[in-house]
Amino acid sequence: MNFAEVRFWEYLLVGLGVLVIARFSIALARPTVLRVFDKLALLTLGLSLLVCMSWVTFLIFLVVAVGTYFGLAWIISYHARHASKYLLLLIPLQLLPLFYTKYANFVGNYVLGFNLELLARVTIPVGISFYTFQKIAFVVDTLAFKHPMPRFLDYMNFAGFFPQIVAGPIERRADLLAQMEAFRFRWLPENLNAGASWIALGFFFKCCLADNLNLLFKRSSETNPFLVWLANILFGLRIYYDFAGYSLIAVGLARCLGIKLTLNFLSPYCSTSMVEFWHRWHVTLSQWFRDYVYVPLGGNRVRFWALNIMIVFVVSGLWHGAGWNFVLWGFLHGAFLIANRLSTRLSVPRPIAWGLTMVASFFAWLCFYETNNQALWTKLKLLLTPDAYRSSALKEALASYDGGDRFTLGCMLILAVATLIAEWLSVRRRNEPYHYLRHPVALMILVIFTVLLAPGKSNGFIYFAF
Amino acid sequence: MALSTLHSRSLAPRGLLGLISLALLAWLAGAWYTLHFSPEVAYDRHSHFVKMAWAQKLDRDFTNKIVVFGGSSCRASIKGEQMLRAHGLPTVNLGLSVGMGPKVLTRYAFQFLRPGDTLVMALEPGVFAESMELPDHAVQFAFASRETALLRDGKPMNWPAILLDLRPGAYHIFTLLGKIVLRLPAFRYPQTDLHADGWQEIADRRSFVDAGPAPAELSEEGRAWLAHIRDTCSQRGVRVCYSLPWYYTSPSLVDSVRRQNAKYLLQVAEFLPVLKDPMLGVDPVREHFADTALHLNACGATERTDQLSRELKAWEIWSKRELALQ
Repeated sequence: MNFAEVRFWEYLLVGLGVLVIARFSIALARPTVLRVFDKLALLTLGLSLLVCMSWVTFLIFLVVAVGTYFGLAWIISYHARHASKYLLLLIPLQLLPLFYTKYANFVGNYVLGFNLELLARVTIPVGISFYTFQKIAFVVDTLAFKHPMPRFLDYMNFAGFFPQIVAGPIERRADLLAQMEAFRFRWLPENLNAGASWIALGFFFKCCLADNLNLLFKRSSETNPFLVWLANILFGLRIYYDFAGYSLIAVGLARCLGIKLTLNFLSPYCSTSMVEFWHRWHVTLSQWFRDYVYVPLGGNRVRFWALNIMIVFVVSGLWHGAGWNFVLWGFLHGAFLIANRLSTRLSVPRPIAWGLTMVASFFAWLCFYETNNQALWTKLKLLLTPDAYRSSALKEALASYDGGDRFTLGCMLILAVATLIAEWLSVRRRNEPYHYLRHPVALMILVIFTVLLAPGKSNGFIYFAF
Repeated sequence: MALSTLHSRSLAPRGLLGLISLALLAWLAGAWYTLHFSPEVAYDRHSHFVKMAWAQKLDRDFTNKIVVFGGSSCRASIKGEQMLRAHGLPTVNLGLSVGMGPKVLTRYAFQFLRPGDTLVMALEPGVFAESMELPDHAVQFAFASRETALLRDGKPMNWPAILLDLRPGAYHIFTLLGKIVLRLPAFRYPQTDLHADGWQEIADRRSFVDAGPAPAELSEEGRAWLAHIRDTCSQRGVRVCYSLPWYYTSPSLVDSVRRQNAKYLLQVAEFLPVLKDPMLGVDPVREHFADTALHLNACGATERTDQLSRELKAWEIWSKRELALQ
C-alpha cells in the first residue's frame, strides 16, 4: 500500500464508495447485521487493497495470519498447561516465511557461500517484517496474560488493518484488538478532521521533504569527508521524513475510520541522548524489541546488561536488512547506547548533548545506505581521519553541486531544518510532537508546499524494503 | 487549536474539506503557472510552433523531407536551412528537450512524417539505458502545446497521475527564486535564438567538462523502443536511421570514448541503420561547443550539419563488422 501512489487512493475511494452503498442498502433491509457487515467490509477492503498490491504479498500474509490464529487456538485448546513449550514451536513457524524471503540469500550465499541463484532471486514481500512481528507479539501477549482468543473476524481485522499492515506501526493486542472488536463505520467529523491533519502532515513529510531530499542525495564520493557527511545528513533526514510521513498517513487514515494508532515517531531529531533517540524513533519497533527480546534476556537488571543491549541492536540491524552493513549499524547504535548509559552521571549542557546525539546518529546512517562493504569501510575510515578535512575538500564538496542544485539543496535544507525547529518547539513547549505543525494555519501552508514542491515522480517508501 | 477541534460541532468535516479544497486550488495555481509562465515549457512550446511551421512549409514545397529529432543536442546541432540550401535536402530539426524522454520525443517526430520521408534519430544515447517513465516535462509540454496525444502509450491513461505532473516542483521553484534573487534571466535561452528551421543558435558560453561515453548496455525498455521505431517506420513507409550526437571529449580520451561509443552503436545497429559518421559521437574541438559538452555552437553545428548531409546523401551505414572492429 503505497500511500504516495495515486492508484492507492483511487482503489481506496472506489472501495469505500462500494461499501458505503452496500452499507446503506443493508441498513434499510437488515439493520441488525450492520455490526458484522462493518467488520467484514473493513477486512474485505484491506485484503482487496493487498491483492491490488501483489498476489504473492497477499497469499503470504494470509498464510502467516491464518496459521498464527489457528496455531494459537490449538495451543490454548489442547496444550494450555505447556503453552510456553508450544510457543517455541509456533514462533519459529511464524518466522519461517520472513527468514526464507529476507535472510535465505544472506545466510546461504553470503555467510555460508553456497552461491545459489535461486536464493538470490527471492523477493521480500512488502510488510512481512512488520506483520510477522505484530503476530508474534499477539501470540506472546495472549498466552502470557491469558487473554481469551478473539473472534476470527476481529483477529483478521487486527492482523490486516490496511493503513498499518505494510509498514507499521507494529500494534499490540491491547491497543488495537479492542478497537477492532468495537469497530463501526461512523465517519465522525472530528475523526475525519483529525485524520486529515495527520494525512496532510504525512504527505508534506514524504512528498515534499523526503522525495526532494532523495533527489539531492549523492553517495558516490569515497574521498571527500564533507560529501560523505552531506550524504549522511541528507539520508538521515530523508529516511526520517519518509518513514515518519508514511506512519503519519497511516495514523491519519486509521483515525478517519475511528481507529487510534500509535505514533511511530515522536520528533527523534530533538533528542539529547541516544536513549531518548530510541524512545522517539520507530517507537513501536523499539518497544517490541524491549518487551520481547531485551526484557526476556534479563534487561538491565542483570550484570551483562550491556551484552543484552548489543544483542537487541544487532538483531534490530538485521531486522532492517540482511547485510553486514545493517549488522554494523546495529552494533554502532548498541555501542552508542551503552556509552550513553555509562555516562549518565556526566552533566553535559543540552545543546552539546543534542549535538553529540545528532553526530552519532547521522554518522551511523552511513551503514544504512552504503550496502557495498568495501565502500562502507573506506568511508568510515575517511570520516574518522582528521587529515581528510582539508579546505580543498570543502571547496570540492561545494563545487560538486552545480548552481541550480546548490540553491535547491540550500532551500530544501532550510525547509527541513525549519520543520525540525517546529517539531522541537512542539516537544519543548507542549510535550506533544508535531503540535505546531498540525495547527490549521501551518497545515494550510504545508498543503500548499506539498502540492507545489513535491517532485512529479514519487519514490517508494524506504521501509517497504525492510 | 487542532484541526480536529475546529468546527467539531458541525456535521460536515470542514477541516478535511478545507484541506482538500486548498490542495485543489494550489494544484490549479501550479498548473496554470506551469502551462502559461514556466520558462522551460514556454520555450519548448514556442519551439513546437516554429518547427511545425517549417515542417508544413517543407511539406508544401517538397514531396519528401528529412525529419531529425532528439533532445537539445539535436536542437543545437542541425541546421535545416543549411541542409536545404547547400545540399538540397529539405530538413526540419525537431529537437526539443531530452528531459521529455525518448517516447514523447519519438511520438512527436512521428506526427510530422509522411510516407517517403526520412527519419533521422539523433537522440542522446543515455536515454536508451535509463527508465522510460513519462517525465513531468513531457506532460507539461504536451498540455501546453495541446498535443496530449503524445502521452498515449497504448495503455489506459492514468489521468489523475498525469494531471499531478502539471505542478512545478521544488527544483523549478527554488532555482527560479535563485535567478530572481541573482537577477539572472528566468531561462538560459532566449526564444530569439531559435531559427525558423528549428535550429537553436546558442550564444551562451560556459565552462564545461567531458560528456563521457555512451552507455555500455541498452536497457530492455530501450531495445523494445528501438524495435518499435523500426517497425513503425517500416509500416509507414519511412526510411529511418540513427545518428549519434557529437559530444565534447578531451583529446586524450578520444580513442577510448570512440571505442565505447562503437560498442553502443553496435547494439543500436541491431535495430536501426546507423549513419557512418567517422566522428563516432566525439568532437575534441572545444571551440565547437557553446554552454555544455552536448551543445554545439554555430561553428560546430555547421560542421555537424555538413557531415550529416554527406552521410544522408550517400546513405553510408556502418556495418556491424566495422563497428565491432572499432
